[in-house]
Amino acid sequence: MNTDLPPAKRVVVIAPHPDDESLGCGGTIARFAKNGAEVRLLVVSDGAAIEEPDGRHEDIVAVRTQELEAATKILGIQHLRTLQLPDGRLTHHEAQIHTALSDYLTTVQPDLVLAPSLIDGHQDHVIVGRIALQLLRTTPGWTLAFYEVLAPLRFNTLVDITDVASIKETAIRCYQRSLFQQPQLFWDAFRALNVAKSAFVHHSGLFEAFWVLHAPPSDHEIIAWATYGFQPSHNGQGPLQRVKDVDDLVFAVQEKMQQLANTDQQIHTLRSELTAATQKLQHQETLIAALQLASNKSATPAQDSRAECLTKETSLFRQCLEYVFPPGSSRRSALSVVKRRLTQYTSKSPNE
Amino acid sequence: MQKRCAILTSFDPYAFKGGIETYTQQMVDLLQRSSYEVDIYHTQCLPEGTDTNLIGPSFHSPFLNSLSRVGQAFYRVDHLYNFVIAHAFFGFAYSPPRIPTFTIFHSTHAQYAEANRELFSQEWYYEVKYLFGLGAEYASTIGKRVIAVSDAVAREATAHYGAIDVVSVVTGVDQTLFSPRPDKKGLRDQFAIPRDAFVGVFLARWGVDKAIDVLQEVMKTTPDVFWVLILGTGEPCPLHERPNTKIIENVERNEVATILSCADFLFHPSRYEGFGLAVAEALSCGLPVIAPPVGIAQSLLALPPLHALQLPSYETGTQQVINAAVETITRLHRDRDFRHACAHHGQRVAAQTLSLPQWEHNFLAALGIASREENPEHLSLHQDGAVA
Repeated sequence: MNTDLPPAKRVVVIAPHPDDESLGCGGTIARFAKNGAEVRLLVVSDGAAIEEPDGRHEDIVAVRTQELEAATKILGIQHLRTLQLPDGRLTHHEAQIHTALSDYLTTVQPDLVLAPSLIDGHQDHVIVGRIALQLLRTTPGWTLAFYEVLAPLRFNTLVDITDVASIKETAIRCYQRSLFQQPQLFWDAFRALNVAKSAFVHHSGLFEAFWVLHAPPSDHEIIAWATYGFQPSHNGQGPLQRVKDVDDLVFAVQEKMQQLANTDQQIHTLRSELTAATQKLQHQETLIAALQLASNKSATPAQDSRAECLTKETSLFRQCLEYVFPPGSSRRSALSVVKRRLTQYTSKSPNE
Repeated sequence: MQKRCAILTSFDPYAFKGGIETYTQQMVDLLQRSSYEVDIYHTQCLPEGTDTNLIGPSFHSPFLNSLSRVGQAFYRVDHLYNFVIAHAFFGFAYSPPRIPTFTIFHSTHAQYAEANRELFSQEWYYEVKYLFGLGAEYASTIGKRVIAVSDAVAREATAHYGAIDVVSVVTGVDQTLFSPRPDKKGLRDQFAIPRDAFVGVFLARWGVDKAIDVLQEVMKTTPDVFWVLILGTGEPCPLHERPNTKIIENVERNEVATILSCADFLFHPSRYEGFGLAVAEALSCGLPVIAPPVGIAQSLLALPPLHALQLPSYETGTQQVINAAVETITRLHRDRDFRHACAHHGQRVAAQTLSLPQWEHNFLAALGIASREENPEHLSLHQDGAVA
C-alpha cells in the first residue's frame, strides 16, 4: 500500500462539478499546495443542475461559481478554469471535453492529474474519468490518480490528510448551496469515509484514497482491478447475454440501414435538382444559338463569352452526371460531388 | 401440498383471441383437471411486488424489454412452483432456469422470417430472424425441454437452434365444438350468407404474412364463390364493400365453429405456419381445406384424396400457388363427390390425429405427468438445467 502520491511540482485536478475537488481530494490538494506545488483546478460542468429553493429565484451558476472560488482559495489552488458545460449532461459533450482537457494538459504539462473514478456513482463523474483515462493512453508525461466521491474505490494509495483535515472541512463548508444547505452533513460523511481508511494503515487519522496509474491499463485490467480479478466465464455469459448481443447488433444494423435510406433519399433529391439544372442550361444554350441564327451574323464578343461559359458549364455537368450515375460508385463521394456541383451552379445568378 | 405450475406468456390469454391464447386456455383447463394450481404471468401481469426498476438487462427492442421483465421477475417466485411452461420465446429471460422449464414452440421465428423475407423490409427480417429467432428463441431452448406443436416445428427447432430432444405434441382441437353441424342452410341464415352460394372461408389475421395478396388474387378469379372472411386482430381489411363477400371480425370460438360448418371449403394460403389451427378446426368441421404444405397441412394433406387440395410450395412461385388454388376451388365447386370425399376423409384424419384427449395425454406425458393422479415431483434438473 502506498502512503503517498508520487511527488509533483505541478498538479491538475479535474472536477466534474464545483465541490467534487473538495469532497474527493480536498485534503490532498491542500497538502500539495502547502508543500509548494502548483495546483490547478479544471471544473467541467457549470453546476446548474441544482433546484432553486422554493419561491426564490437565483442564478445558481453564479452562486456555485462564488462557492467554488472561495473553496479554491482555501485549498491553495493557484489556477482555476471552468468549462461551463451543462451539469448532468456531460455525456453529450464527450468530444468537446476530450479536446479541452487534451489541450489543457498539453499546455500545462502537469506531473500528476487527479480525476474522478471510473466507477463513481454519477454519469458526469464516469465520463470525465473515462476521458482522463483515454488521455493517459495518448498524452505522455504525467501520472493519473483516480479519486473517490460517490462510490468507494479500490485504491492502491492512501494519502494521510489528518494535518490538513481542517482545511478540507473549511473548503467543504464554502459549498452552502452546492451541498443542499447541509455542508456539515457532507463533511461528516466524507470525514467518516476518510476515517474508515485508517483501518488499512493500522493507525488513526484521515486518509484520501486513490487508484494511481503510471501506465495506461487495458480495459481488461480495469475490470479485473475494480472487481478484484473477476474473469468473465463462458458459463456466466449465458444465453441471455447472447440475446443482448444480438439485440445490440440488430439495433446497430437497423440504425445504419435507416441512415443509408436517408442518404439514398438525399441523393435522389439532388439528382432530380441536377437534372432540372441541366435542362435549364440546355435551354439557355439553345436560346443563345437561336439568337445567333436570328441575327444572321457572327456573335458579339459578349455573346461569344457567354456561349463559351455555358458550354463549359454544360461540360462540367455532364462530367458530374457521368460520375454520379455509373453503378458501383461510392454513394458518399457521389453525394459530395453532386453537392459541390450544385453549389457551383446555384451560386451563379440566372442572368449571368 | 398443493401442486403448482406457472405459465409465462406475452399477452393476457383471456383478453386476446389468438392461437396461443386458445392453447393457453386448453392448457390451464388440463392442468387444473390434473390437480395443479396454475398462475399465468405476462407483460401486463408480473409477480406481485415486482420492482421493474431492478430488472435488467435492457434491450433496444421494446417487446424484448417487456418480455425480459416477465422472465426476470419470475425468479422471485419460481420456488413456489413445481414447473413452468413458457410459450415461444416469451420466457427467454428466465434463463438459466432454476426449476423444470418447458418451452412450447408454436412456430420458429427463424423459419417464419425466411418464409416471409421477400414481403417485409430487411430491418424486419433481421429483427425477426436474428433477434426473436436466433437470439431469444435459441435462449428458450437452453436448459429447457422444448415441446413443438407439430413435427415440422420440431424439425425447425433442431435445424435453426440446435434444440435437442424436442418432443412433438400435435395440438388438439375441441371436436365437441368443432364438428359438422346439421342444417347448413339454417346456419347460413344466421350470418346472412346466401343459402345456395358456394362458400369459401378465410380464417386468419389480415396480414401480408397470411398471404392476403394471394387471397385477393384468387378472389378476383373466382367470381362465383361467396367469400366469408373471419378476421382476427390485424391490419384493416379493405374488402368491406366487395360484393359476394362477408367480413366477420372478433368472433367467439363457438361462432367460428358455426361459420365453418356452413361453408364449403377453407382457403388457407399462409406462407408459413407452425401448426395452423384454422386448418385443424376446419377439417374437424368436415370442411375441405386448400393450403400449401406448411404446418399441419403438410402432413394432413399428404395422402389421397386430400393431397389434391394441397397447393404447391411458395418456392415454386406465387403465381403457381394462385393458379393451383383457383383450379382446386373450381374442381371442388364442380365435383360434388370429390368435395364430399375430401370433407369426409379430412374429418376422419382430424378425428384420428387432432383429438383433444389425445393431445391431453401426449402433453401430460411430455411434462412428465403420466396420469392425472401421478405427482410430477420426479421432475428434476440436470446440471446444465435440462429437465430430466
